[in-house]
Amino acid sequence: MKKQMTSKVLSVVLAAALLAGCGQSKTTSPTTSAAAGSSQSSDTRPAGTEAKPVDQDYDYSSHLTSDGRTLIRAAMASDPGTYDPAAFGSIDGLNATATMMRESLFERDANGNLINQIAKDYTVDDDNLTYHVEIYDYVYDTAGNHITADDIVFCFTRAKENGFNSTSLYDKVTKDDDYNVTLHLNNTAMGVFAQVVQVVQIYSQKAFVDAGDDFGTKPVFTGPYKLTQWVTGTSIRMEKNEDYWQKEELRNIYAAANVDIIDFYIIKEAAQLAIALETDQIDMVYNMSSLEAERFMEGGSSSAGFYVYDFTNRQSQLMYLNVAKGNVLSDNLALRKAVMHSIDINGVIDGVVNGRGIACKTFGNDMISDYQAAWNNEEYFDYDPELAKKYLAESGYGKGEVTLRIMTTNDEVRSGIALMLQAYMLETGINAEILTYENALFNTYKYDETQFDILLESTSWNGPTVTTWRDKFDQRYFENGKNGFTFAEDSKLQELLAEALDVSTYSAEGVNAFHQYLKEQAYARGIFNQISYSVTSDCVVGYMNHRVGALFPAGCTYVWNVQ
Amino acid sequence: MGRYILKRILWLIPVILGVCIFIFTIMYFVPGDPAALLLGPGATAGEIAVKRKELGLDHSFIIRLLDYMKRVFLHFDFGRSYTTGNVITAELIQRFPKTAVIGFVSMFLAIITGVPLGINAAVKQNGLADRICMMLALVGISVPVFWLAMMMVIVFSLNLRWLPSSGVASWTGYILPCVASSFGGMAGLARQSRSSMLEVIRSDYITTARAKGLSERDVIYRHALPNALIPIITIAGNKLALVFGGSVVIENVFSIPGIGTYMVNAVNNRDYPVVQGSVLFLAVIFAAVMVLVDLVYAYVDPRIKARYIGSQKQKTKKRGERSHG
Repeated sequence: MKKQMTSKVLSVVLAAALLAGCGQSKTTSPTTSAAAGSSQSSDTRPAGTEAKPVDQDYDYSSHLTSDGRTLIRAAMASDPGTYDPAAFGSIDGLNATATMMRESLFERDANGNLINQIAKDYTVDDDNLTYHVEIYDYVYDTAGNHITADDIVFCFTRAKENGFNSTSLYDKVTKDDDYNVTLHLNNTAMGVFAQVVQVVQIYSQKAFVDAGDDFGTKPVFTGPYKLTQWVTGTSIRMEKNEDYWQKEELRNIYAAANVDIIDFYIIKEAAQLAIALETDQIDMVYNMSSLEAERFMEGGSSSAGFYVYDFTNRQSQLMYLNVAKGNVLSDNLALRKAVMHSIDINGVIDGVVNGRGIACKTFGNDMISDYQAAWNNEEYFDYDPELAKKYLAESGYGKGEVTLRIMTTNDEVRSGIALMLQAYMLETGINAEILTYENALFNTYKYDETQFDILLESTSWNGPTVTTWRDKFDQRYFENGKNGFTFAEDSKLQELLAEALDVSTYSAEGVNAFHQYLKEQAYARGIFNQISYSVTSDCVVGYMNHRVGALFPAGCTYVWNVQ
Repeated sequence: MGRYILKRILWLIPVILGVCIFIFTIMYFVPGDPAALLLGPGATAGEIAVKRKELGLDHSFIIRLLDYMKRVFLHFDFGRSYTTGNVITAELIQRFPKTAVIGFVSMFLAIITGVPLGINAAVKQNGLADRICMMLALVGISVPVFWLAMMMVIVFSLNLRWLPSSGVASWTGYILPCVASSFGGMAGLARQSRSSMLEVIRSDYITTARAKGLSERDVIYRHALPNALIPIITIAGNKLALVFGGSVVIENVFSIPGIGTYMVNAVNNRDYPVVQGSVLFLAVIFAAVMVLVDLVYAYVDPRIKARYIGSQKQKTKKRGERSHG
């Protein structure tokens, strides 16, 4: 009897202990503009990144080093691997850190407009392929090397030899004189020049040669910060370049240096980011999940001493329908429309990101420079189950007679979208099978028209929308000669795209014509852009992201900048 | 004994060769083109072909395998990472100490907690102590290590502020990962120790030892435990291998730049040289640990030692007889 009682008590205790660890305390609802679980939330814009009130008595001594320099600590998801501009490294790590050290000829602001960095000005010949670029004659790197046209030519040539991103868009760069070069593009599409000049980073050939194999780990660049310490896989320290070459009045937004020292700590796990912030190990976190960010929002359990900045992530979730010859969706516009009208995007946003997203009204998002406001008022594959069923009947398939394969990565958001799509399509009478792959396999299979019927992926948008449309639909851009991941062989689509793309024929009407035709043919659609959160300690009163989609601590405003 | 050690070490060579061929073959057949992945979606077929040639991916399987084996076994060169261009050997040497510290410390903690727990449970079989020990062991085996790690972070970092939540900037950063990692090993060793001790405790020589009037402590630790150690040592050796191989979870939770995360990232990026180099590196470490385990067997169990010394003496005697005969 005694033994039985003891066993029962121990079992109850064990069960209670296990369950206690699994549960999560409910915080009060955050009072942000993006409320959870509401169908209206998909149209609710984030509060944004406006400046916070400054407390003139704020004590920031904890952010000072022993020699009186200001210090901020940020988190990043991965180690950069290498800072060699012609190598690949880790995108997350590089985006978080390299933007403050490396410079290119030009950069782009959040609206996609070119801003000067190493280059002072440029002109373009009538052929729209030959660009003449003048650089500043007083550019120096952190080792004191003077940057001249020879270095520009070296950097562009080396990047092209290594097959680096976007380097296929130019043939060569030639030197005109010490501070002038000519860039010979091979593509007259909109945005190509901007893409090329901001992707290729500039550094001294002498510095590269002197460093030998160590250039990637002991880099020398021209930026407002320099790398002073790197513990691989753990942390990176960057210090302000006191001899930054650019004049104060000519510094662009990415040349800001509002803090003397920035320490980056590599923290991979989402919950660990929040804990590190709470335990004062770090001061800022970019792109925290909404679940963790809620704790720091007003009314949340850890809100005192923190600010939450929310913004629309530039990465759009996208969907393509495979219309390759022989595929079930090919030559069956009714079936494609049945798929598109089956989906309640607001429901997807509610289900996948807890209502924290903005529905797309084009294949792209409304933050891109040539987005047209008229598209907001148009029908864009509106959710209509009855219409979807009607289209299914027109397609020649009965309920449950067709099964489509949805392919995506094992990313949490995209897997969630796939599940929601499957459920919505089932309501219409279309069966769906979900195929999830890890990134490498996904990036291989998405070029294979036999692997999927519906593809889910995401893309960040910079510059004009047509630039990304080129990457996704231009037959000249794909080895198979088809319209990208739709595998369409649609000459009209290609013609409209070519007209919208080319610098000489680019117009708002042309952009709209492509948008309308893509919609009419139901080849692909934008789904939503997620609302992201960055959380900082309250010493950060003005927040800034870099256009590559990363926190930009150098450009944030701190209490010591305004007191 | 020296010959035994040499023989075990020489056996490592075919094992490592086999691992090398196996992992190379596996990576060869894994879908996904590293060159295309590196260059990104905008790369043309020509650019991909040039990159493949640069990376040596355009040769046949046999040529690539032989070339790789030549570099690894003759020059001890694992090559460079496709992604970062960094020398793999240097990266492994830099990362291994962190994984090794977690592996060995967690194993040590598992042994010093698990074995006494198991012994206690066996000695007090069916008593309260036995039930508590086995319940702890059951919890240790059942609880996922990532959950346990996060719970420990919440308690010791977030609530108590005693220890850092991530990173290994100082020695305190190793405490939580080592303890979390040791829990599963502790549980397995406790169960195995109890099981082995129960078998031995019922032996006649234990009854004789008690009848002779030896103290219970002497009976357990001088007579029973040495005879129960062989399976315990085997389990401990296997657990150590599991800790090294499964360290990626702990390294991810605590953001530790060890070999586990290095390998997993390389697999995701199809960074063949890194995967091959890391697996080979770990295979060598594991094989060395197994040799050590065998040597510990010989040290702990006089029968094994005697067998080898006896066989040496027999061989010497036979040679002597032949020469006199």
